[in-house]
Amino acid sequence: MNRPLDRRLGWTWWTLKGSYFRIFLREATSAFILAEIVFFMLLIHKAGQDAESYLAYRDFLWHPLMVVFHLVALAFALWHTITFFLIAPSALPSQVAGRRIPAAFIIGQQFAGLAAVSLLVILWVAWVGAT
Amino acid sequence: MNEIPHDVLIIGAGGAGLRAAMAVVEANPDLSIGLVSKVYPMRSHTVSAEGGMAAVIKSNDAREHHIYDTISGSDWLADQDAVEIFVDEAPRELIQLEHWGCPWSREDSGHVAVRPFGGMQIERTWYAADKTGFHVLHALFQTSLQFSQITRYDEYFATTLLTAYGRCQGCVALELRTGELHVLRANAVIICTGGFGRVFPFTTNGSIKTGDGLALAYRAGVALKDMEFVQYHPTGLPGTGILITEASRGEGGILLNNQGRRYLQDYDLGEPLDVHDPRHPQNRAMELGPRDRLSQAFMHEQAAGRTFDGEYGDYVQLDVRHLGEDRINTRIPFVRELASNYAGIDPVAEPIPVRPVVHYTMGGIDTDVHGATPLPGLYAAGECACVSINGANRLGSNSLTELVVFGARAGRHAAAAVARQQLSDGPEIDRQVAAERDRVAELRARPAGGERVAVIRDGLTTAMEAGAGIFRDEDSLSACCATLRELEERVARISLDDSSPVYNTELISALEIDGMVDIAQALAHAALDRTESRGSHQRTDYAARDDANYLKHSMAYRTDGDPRIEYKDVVITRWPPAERVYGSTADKDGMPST
Amino acid sequence: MSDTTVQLEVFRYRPDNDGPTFQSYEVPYHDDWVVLDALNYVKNYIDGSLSFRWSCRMGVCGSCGMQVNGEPALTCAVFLRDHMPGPIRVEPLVNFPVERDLVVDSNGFMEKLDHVKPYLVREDETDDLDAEYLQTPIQLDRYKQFSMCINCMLCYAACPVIGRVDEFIGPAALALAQRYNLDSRDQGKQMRQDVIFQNEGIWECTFVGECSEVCPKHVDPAGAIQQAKLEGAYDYYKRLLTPWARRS
Repeated sequence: MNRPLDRRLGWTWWTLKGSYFRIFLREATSAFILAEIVFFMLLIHKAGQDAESYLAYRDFLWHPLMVVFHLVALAFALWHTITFFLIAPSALPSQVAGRRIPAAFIIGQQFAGLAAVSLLVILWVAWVGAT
Repeated sequence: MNEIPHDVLIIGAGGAGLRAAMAVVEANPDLSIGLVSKVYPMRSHTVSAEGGMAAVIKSNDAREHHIYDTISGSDWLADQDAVEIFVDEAPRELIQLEHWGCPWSREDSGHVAVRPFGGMQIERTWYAADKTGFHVLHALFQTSLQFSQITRYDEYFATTLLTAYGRCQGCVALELRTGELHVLRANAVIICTGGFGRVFPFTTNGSIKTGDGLALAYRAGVALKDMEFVQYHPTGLPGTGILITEASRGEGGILLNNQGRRYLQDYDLGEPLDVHDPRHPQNRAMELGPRDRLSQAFMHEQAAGRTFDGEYGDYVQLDVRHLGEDRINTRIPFVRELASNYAGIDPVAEPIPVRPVVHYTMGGIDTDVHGATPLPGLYAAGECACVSINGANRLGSNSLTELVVFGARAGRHAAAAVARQQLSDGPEIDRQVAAERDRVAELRARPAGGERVAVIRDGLTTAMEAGAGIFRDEDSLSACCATLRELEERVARISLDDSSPVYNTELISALEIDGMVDIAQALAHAALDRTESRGSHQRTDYAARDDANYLKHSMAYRTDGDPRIEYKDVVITRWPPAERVYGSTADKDGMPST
Repeated sequence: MSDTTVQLEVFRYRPDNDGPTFQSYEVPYHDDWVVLDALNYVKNYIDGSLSFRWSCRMGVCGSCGMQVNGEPALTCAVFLRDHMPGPIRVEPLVNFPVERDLVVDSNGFMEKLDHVKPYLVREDETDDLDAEYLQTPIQLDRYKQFSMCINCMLCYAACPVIGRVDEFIGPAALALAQRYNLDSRDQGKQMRQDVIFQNEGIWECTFVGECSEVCPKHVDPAGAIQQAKLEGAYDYYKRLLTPWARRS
């Protein structure tokens, strides 16, 4: 007699369904974010060296292909952020001090926080640019 | 075939079986328990119970009230000593469930909340929203996991009991996964396999409720008691028969005929109060009358042409709209889920179509108050047993309580009994095992082209509905008995499409139907012989209750021909038979006014 | 009622025969039939050798979970009308070993349930049955959602981690652990946490969230797992930063 049939999804699970593939992409966005962090670290490194290599690196970042890459990375990062915010309520305890926290409130707070931090960064960049 | 020894064997792992198993552990932790079930324990039909469990706990209630409600609800056919034990032990058993994690609905104070239920003069039904059975079963099952004394045999189907030297000593069980037969030996066997509503076509019962345990005991020579009493629940969904809990009426739902009238007022069930009256719903009146009376009222309305005409037969309306969305969501969320999914009705906006549906079988294996049957070593508890506390009509929310009260009693009694017994070996057991192996092998080996299981089942259920439904008479019952006799012969000619040993569910169905035809005959013959009307047993040719001749339990014994029906006196302690009075003619205690 | 029919493509497998095949059956179509009704029609009147589990047919016993057109579902709750004109493909739940036709091996699942000690743990020496433990509706509300699981195993079929990591306790069992951890009457949380975090599987959960998507009772096991992870991480750092504090 044969053994019971093995029907595990296995390593190709993310190819099997649209919803799985979207989750896979969500996780894959981390590769773009990693790349952006590496570029940013290199930028800081170059800034510590001579002006010539810093400017050369800056030009490289402004290359049209790199701009496209940055835009794609931005889109992925936003997508990851938004989906993360949307699922966060179920990952948090449902009650604080005996009261149920509405999911919409948690989601709203996150977006508000993101907006506040973004605003601060923009203001700071504008201030640095102005001085 | 290897033999597996245990001290106590429990067949059936629903509410009663699990409670019995833990009672054995509590009584004597050194005993080994085999827990046999044809499904995984949490699939057992206890899971489908909705409304709640009755027990006296609140200060406005008293044991006398619960006892009186149960006895009058039973139309005086309950054994009163058993009812007293039942009512007295219920509160501790329900607290035990609470301590085992059952998520009872609560009052703001943290105490367990209670709700009104049909036929009860005071609200005493504990509930976990409207999934009480589900929560009770899962709490029992999950709690049982911590006891290493309990060995589970999940998806094993018990095919026969083994008896020798006048004592039940175990069973033969078919392992669904392999198709192998196993011999399970024990000094005590407790049957907890549930009722047999599936002998009827239109039932709230799940497919597993085929009365297997009754057939096991019946074939071992034990009487089946009060088999003629079958409860129709007044509110099932037409078509599927899915249960809409009585809690929907306990919370204030009303029943309407096709003229928009609360027709129950025309059947000696009291005067209706406005649904916004703070005194609505009134206990023991109108929609909170007992189930037998409500189902019979439907039949009269139907005969008078005052029911709605639907694709799956006539129906009336259950209206809960006035409760409002919030109350529906917190108190009866499952009702909303079921009505939406299976009837396409949102009860918040529309009345729910309902009609009577076979729900519960009061009759069962004859036991005493300890769950012991007349066959030494054999016990029974739960719906498969008949102690009897339900008599001719069970009150809603007494059945889950019965599971734990009498499950525990059977477990404790069996544990005490096995400590004094030795397993008697012997060629007699071997002979029975060999005969059982031959029976199953013969069934599997039959050449193709015989009777189909499903066709026999259709014949059985059709005959039962036509002959032994809500209203019966001599002609309908005689015809039913004759059909069942034919079916018994046809069962012997069943052949299977399925030749595989692995998960041969057709083989299980064939074994089930074999037993169902047997116990259906006990039902039909007991109904034919009881020439009176009492509770759920309504004879159109004998419309009155006849205490002079039938204040008795019917006892059906299996013979080679028709069942032999004997009678046993009802135990009356302090509540002499009286008229059942519901509604306005009852005083505030629910006792009939004199 | 109508005279139309619908085609079912049913997964067939017998361990004593060759590999799996799909078998087609033509069954009557009714507006209000669910897939389980169609399977029962096949078993009753066409082919008695088709094996599957079912009982309550009202979505609470948890027996009849299968893949319907590739999605895990309770077949008693999936209407034919939502998959017309068909054909409708019915397979056993994925990620489980198949024993026979539509019947999967659930013993592994049962062991995982057992693993998380799903029962109230109390320090009381004796069980006083004269009074209930008090629990307010607010305290009940904290764990109620996680107590609604019917063990139908759809979430295991939906979970890609289950398909790769055998020791992963899985969505339903972790939600059950959380159900008891959040119960105000329980005192066994530490014991349960030890079991859960011994197991590396929980950290492999990447919050795919499909388990919660397919859950017929809205238990949200994905949420339960993330909450457990959050608490696990919190406990870890607390222990790391306060090594002098004794574990309770």
